[in-house]
Amino acid sequence: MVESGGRRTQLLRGVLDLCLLAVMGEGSAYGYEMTKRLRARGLSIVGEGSIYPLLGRLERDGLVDTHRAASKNGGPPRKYYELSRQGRKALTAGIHEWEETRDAVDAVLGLAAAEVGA
Amino acid sequence: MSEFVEACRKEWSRLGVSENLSNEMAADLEADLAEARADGVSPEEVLGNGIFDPTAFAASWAVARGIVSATPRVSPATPRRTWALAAAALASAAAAMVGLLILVVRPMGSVSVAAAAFRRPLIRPIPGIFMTPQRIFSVHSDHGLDLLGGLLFMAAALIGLGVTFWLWRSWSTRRRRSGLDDDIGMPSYL
Repeated sequence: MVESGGRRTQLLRGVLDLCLLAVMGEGSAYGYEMTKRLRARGLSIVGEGSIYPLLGRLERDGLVDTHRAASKNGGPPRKYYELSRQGRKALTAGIHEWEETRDAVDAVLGLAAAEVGA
Repeated sequence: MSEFVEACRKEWSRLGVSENLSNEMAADLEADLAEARADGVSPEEVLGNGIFDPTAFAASWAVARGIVSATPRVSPATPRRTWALAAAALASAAAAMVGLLILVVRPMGSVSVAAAAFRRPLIRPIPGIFMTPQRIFSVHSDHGLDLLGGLLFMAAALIGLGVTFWLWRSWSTRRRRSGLDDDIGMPSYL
């Protein structure tokens, strides 16, 4: 049986790339800006892996385009990530997969929750 | 530059990441950490578990970007180490065999075993130069010295094997630490 902390990690491992693509869908962003957007939606990565290697993989796979520009808050130039055409397709497909999986798991866990009176 | 970013730079340099890319990643990291600090946000919020292991974090990032290969680079020292370990293990085993022979075969040999085994001379003796095994055994007849010599050989063998094992463990652990996971949904340290 996976411990609850370990399960959260496993679940995040499968969907954090999708979450990053989703927050990039709101507009181009640099690394820290993305963690702020995730946190604003209640998703903290404390105790989990870093987003930087994930961003690197998304870039390598051609799912994001990057450009360097001056920071919006006047800081040093930052590397901005934005969805590529391929990234948008991957996001759409990923959301569909997530919904299907979530609904199926909900159906199973909902039944179990009724049985154990949770 | 923060200690964390400096540790990352060192790892990128060790992995052979070009200076341009290393500077770029270090600058992004430094700027993000500085902004988080100004916002009162902990570095762990920005880097997750990566904050506790800059080496693994830096390696994961470089591999994920495709800058370096996931296959750990085999340093030129590795084959030499393997040969050195093999030689040390063989030497230790040989010392153990000699010690064992002195402790076990020698006392028996003086009575019957050696005599039975070497009833005929291995080499036809040339007077004054070669000796038959029987002659060798009869020359070295001090049992106390044999015992001491045997024990010394066995002790040297045990120490040799212990040191060899310790070096092997130490080197193989270091190699595993630098091994990287190419299939990085999340960094390999997660």
